[in-house]
Amino acid sequence: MIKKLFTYLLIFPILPSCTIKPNQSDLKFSDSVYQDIASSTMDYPFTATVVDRKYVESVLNQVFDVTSTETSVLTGVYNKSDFGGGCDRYASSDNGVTYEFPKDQCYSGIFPFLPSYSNPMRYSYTVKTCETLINSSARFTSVMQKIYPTWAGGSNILPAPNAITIKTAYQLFFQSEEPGDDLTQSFLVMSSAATTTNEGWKQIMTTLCGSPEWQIF
Amino acid sequence: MSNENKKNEMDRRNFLLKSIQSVGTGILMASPLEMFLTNVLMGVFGRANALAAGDESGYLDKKLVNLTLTNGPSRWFWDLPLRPNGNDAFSYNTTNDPITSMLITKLNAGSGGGGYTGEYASVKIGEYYLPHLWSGLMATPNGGTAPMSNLAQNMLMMRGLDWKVDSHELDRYLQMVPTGNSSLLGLVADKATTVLPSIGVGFSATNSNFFHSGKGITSRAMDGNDPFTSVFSPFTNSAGLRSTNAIAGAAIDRALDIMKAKSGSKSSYLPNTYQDRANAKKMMLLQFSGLSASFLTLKTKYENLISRSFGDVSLRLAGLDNVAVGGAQSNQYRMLFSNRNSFYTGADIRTLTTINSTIANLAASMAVSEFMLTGGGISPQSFTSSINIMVGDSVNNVAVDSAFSAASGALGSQNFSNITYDFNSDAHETGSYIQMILFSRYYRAISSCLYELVNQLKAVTAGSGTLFDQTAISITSEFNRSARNNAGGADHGWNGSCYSIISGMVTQPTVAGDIKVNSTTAGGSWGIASPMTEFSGQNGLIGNVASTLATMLEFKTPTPNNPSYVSKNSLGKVQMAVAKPKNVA
Repeated sequence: MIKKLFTYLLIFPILPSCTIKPNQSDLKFSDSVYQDIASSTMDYPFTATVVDRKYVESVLNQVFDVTSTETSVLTGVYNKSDFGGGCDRYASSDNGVTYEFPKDQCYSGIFPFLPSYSNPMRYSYTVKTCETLINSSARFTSVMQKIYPTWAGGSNILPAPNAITIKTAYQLFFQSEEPGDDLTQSFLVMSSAATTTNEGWKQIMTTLCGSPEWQIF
Repeated sequence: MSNENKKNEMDRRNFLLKSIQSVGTGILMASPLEMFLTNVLMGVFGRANALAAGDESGYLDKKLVNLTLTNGPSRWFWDLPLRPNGNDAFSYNTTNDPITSMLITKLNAGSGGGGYTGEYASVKIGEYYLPHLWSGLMATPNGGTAPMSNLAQNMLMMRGLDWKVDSHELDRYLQMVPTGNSSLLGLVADKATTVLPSIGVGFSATNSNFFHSGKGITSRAMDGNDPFTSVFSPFTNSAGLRSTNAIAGAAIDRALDIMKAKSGSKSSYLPNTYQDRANAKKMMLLQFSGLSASFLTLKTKYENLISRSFGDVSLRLAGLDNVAVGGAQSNQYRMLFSNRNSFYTGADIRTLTTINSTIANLAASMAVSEFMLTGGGISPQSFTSSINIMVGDSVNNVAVDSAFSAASGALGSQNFSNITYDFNSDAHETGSYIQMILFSRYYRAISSCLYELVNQLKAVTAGSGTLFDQTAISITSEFNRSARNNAGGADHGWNGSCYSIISGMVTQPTVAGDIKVNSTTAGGSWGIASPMTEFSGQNGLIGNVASTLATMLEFKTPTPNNPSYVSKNSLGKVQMAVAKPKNVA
């Protein structure tokens, strides 16, 4: 009896919140075709820990202004099993492979998305992709002009980084977050140790782009 | 920084680099830059040396390899001893089968169907009596053979387990994720130092459904025709900034270390993402070559063992598959194929399997396990620590030379001659003789493959022992089968399951768990669970198995209220924590 009473007292304060009508825009599995999928294939809550392949792709596209002809450098990002994420059941091809029966190629044929988890493959793909982008003169120019809009690009000398420009670079990947004093100091030391300021900036951008931190939820 | 200052800084940097390279220390340097460069350079050399020396703990991680035998094959032919002490009370209970019980492991000349009578026969190996199959041989590489009893020396067989639920899917899931959130493979992976903590073979896209990690790591599927290339290709051919400029690469690592130091306060999953990134870099330092050929070579080795297990006449065992049996239209000879048609098989049921018969996914999963655990000659440590394997649900390529049609009763009618089918392990409509032949050969093939994998693990030194001493290979199925006649075959035996563990931690053939002599719902001593005194009068449950694996592999059990069947001694070897197995009236 005491245990029941205790349980009731615990539940009581949250009962009012249970009666609030959910927002109409809330996703409700009970009203959705996904209810069957969820109940038949997953008996546990969906717990994504890292962003999926589409998010990674969109961030890299946004930061480096990757053009449609350059998307091949992002091939790794399209690796479904390593990056997880959505699946277009009606796509006729994906990752360079043309499908005869697109619907059946969408994972198990019934599962429209794969959960994203952390694994070494995704960071290897990420590092490779970042290296390729930063070693591309056009892509490096694109990203650095987001920090120095008047920089002419190419082999022209970049200004040495400072706390403000490091913060700008950091927020290309981390949006509103601050880099912190330790990291800022580390980047300043990194840059001063580099043979040129351009080389220093390449190292800073490689660090930020290849960091797993912007891929975490 | 002015050009002059920059020049001075460069000169100092060169001086520092030369100083470190010549004397190997930077203790006397004091400025932040000097300390930074010292850390960078020492870090580079320290990590490289550690990797080259192979002194990291990948081989010493505890390893779990889980084989799920799908569709619920009958286990009493192999790892479910029904009379482990030799004289245990036993009941065939033929009430539900007018000819003979399902509970046979051997045929004797007699008056039964086809001129033979079935018998539950055992062979004493070590302290316990194991099913008759264990008196035979298994295949080893290069055409060799070995006594099956060799494999039993390191085997713990837990019987009388009650899964509480009758469901192919749920029972399969329950055994991997006993509490609904902590998976056994995930708990092992979360403690792993290996670069790919967990992999799955045979589950394809559903692999992640059976794996949960508290660190948010993934279990990487390794399926397809070229899984080594698939999983290792991300780490090859990195030709960018980091791999061509060691100083820059180390500077980047240092900056990432600073970010990593604060990552735990942002997200509990984040530190592991940094570890995965570090592991990716380790992998990039390795030299991968010939991956496709390596997989093919290993897979072929295991395929050959499987082929011989099904078709090599020198492996046939007296009383099991050494004489022609067949030619009767009775339930013993009835067989369900995977296309859901059932037949009464022909004159010699030994010919049902041939060297072309196989088990889906078994060879590939063994090849992957061997490579990923031993490092495949590429890495001086294991690549992974937990492996989830779904073994195919049937014996593929079963040859029917002649058959009675269940519909017409005519031998060879309906063009049944020389037709090849797959035999389904969900043996609702498979009779006792056919089960005995096909499942015994199925288990002979599995034993041969496991024995080869074990020998490969024994060949790798890990600490003062071998990799096998750090490894537990668990063999489970959705459930055992009951002896209740069900359309000529046997029904789901979810409340009388068994679970085996093969490990270097087990030093003698071991059987644990109590079963009932008889069952009110499904007759005979087929293995239905009996309450255990050590478990407070409860049946053995998956929680007890989970605690057993936790004891052996040294992770925190997800089911602390369910005691382990074993404890470990000071040498890290298993000793029993429950009494000897009993058949209870």
